Amino acid sequence: MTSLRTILGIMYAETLQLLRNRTQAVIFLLIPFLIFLIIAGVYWDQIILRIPTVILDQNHSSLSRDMVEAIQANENLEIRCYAENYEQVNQLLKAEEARVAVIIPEDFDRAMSRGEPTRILTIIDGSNMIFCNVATGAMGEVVTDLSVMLRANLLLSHGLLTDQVKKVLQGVQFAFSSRYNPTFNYAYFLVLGLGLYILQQTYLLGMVTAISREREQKTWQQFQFLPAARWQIYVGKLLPYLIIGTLQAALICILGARAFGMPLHGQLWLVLVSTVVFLIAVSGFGMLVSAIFSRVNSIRLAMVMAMPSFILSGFTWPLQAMHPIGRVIGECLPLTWYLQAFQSITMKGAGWDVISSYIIILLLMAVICFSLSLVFVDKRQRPNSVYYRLYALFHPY
Amino acid sequence: MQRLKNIACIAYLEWLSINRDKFLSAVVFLAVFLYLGLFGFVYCSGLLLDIPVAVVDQDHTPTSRDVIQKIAANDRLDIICYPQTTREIDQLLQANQVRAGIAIPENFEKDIQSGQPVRVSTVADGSNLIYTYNLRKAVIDINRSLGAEIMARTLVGTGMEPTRVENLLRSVEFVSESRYNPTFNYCYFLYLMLVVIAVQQTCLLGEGLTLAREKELNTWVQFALSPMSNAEIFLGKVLPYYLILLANAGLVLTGAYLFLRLPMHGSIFLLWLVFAVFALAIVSLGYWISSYCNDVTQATMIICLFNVPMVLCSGFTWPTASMAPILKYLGYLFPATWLMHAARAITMKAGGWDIVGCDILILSIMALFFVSGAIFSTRRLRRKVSPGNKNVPTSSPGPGSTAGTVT
Repeated sequence: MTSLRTILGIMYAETLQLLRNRTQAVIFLLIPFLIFLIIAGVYWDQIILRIPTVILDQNHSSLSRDMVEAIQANENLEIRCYAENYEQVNQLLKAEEARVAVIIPEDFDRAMSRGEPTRILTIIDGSNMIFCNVATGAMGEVVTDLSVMLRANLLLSHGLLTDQVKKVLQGVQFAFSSRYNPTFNYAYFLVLGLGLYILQQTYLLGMVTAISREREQKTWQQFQFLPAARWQIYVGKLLPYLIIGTLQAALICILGARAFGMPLHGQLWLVLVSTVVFLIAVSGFGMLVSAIFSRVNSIRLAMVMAMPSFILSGFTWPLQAMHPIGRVIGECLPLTWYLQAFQSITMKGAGWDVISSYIIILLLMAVICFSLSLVFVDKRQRPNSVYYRLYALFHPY
Repeated sequence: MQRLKNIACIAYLEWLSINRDKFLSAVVFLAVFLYLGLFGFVYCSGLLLDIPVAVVDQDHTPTSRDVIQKIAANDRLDIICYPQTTREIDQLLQANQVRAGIAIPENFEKDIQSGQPVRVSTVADGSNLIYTYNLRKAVIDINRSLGAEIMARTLVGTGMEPTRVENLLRSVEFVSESRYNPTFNYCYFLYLMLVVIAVQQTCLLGEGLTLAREKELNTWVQFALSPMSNAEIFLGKVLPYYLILLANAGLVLTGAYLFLRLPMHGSIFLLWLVFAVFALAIVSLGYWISSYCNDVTQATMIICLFNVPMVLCSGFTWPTASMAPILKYLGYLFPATWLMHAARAITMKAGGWDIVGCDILILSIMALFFVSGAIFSTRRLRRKVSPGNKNVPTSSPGPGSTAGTVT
């Protein structure tokens, strides 16, 4: 009972400290939401429609016009202009006024009617992979439909019967469907993950100052005279951040789901559990940094370390395609496992059987970081023995 | 001449204080390389190959095995298991063990031979779109080659001569070309953006602290009361960072060119020019920000947190036209937007003056604006401690006074 009261007391003191510095309170409490709104605003359309397309129609026949109409009918593509020559197409692509170019050769209809080989060239701007992916897919659809139509005409003109033509063209079809995200929605893919990554940053910023602040303001010694065990001090210092952080994560998820229509399937208690464990692991890292460095340096270090974590987490570019060194570093980050778990729960509706391994890894990371920070936390005041520190953990100073 | 000497003096002082703060010098000199090394390890392959897939073969005939061989031969795909039912595919997908399941239906061979329509269904994991798009490309390739093969076989079956069949099939050919990035390499696409984030972040982390540090240590007053002009103080303070930024950017881009084989099609001079103008804009911006921050902690936090959304707003990955109306023009306000646009146009598209001239012009205007803002803020800060102001510290700090006397 007393131990609970001690923890509550330390919690209260820490909350006051957190709120007293107004800039830091704003950064800790509000900035994650602000940045989340910006991110959601960036991916506002969620799907890329109307990619600017240029057509170079050197044929001007009814056949080529059919083709242009088929392109126009595709919602991902929008014909912006008709080029006069190949030079102009290149110029438009270079100046990014068009991202896709379709070139219909001069002898298109003649070659078709004679059954001679002819090729239709599609050029897609590969410098931005997002355009490139969407446009490749859209052009793929257009081309598949068109080639069936053109081939049917061709075969019929070669004297095949309608039934035969049907047989030939039906063949095998690879139907492709995208599970969990049927419309290839980029916002579903990225927004919540990025939002939680930003939350990690602000959370870490709050956390790294927890001990270094006390040390800098020379108030750390006061804790030594408290009739509290070391673990109580840590728990008391950690809890306010943990509670606020969990609430923020919940708010970000709710905001994402309600205001921006992000998918939030699966069991929500699993999301909650993994969020709490993740935040504990991050706090462990924060406390470790905070125990070793001064306040400014620990903030800098936390930021420098946390910035690349999103890219290393495998959330976008998969871990399997990284260099082994990158993969190992990525696997050592709590964010990697948390985002993996989060995505599996919210998008795939995965249950405890899948998530448990991620949670166990996160717990292990938390334990390792906390034990390390205990070893480092008051190096100067205490004898250097690890046994002593372990003993001191459960006893008052 | 005297002016130059003044600037050099301040620059030297700043250089010393960078070197004195071990952490700062690590950030300014090493962090860029650390970042880009890390990012290099992430994106070095640039291509996503060997995506784990599961194949359910419900037919077990030579034809279905032929299809499986085709799938296995595709270098984007790697068949890691052969479950018995499609239900198992669902479980594997959910557990992130495979990224796609391909199901060959029963009576596959029989239906093909009798000319019935056959569907091979592929279910891809849509939760990570990078996987999804690569899988779709692979499936389209397989579909195309297999479709042509089967079509040829059926046509020959109708009694057509093989050469004529070949001609017929070749008659309509749709060729798709990915200009500027023929192999769909993600590294080419993203690395430039990461270079800009890293260079900008580390520069701002250093530069954004310069005035905040002086204010915190109370040494600002020595600058404020010196006879040097505002422009001299500003130039001296940003010069080291400017040079460091340019050196970092140069080294990093050379490294990327040598080790990651990043394309460099355009003029190096033009690229250098863009970076030089950008660097001026960003160091003056950092100086300006730091004139408003009261302490180092605050400056660091603000700079770090807004780096990522700033780059997302730039339209380098997600296109500006698809953003929320309010944010569409936000990206235009950041120098990084124009730098990334110009750098991509130069390196990947061999863009010349006609393409990047506009970017350089806008960057120059921004640089001019930030420089004048920075100089004015120097004046504002100096006025605060000028002798006419009542807030002046009591002891007049001359050249020999210590920092501690100012409260």
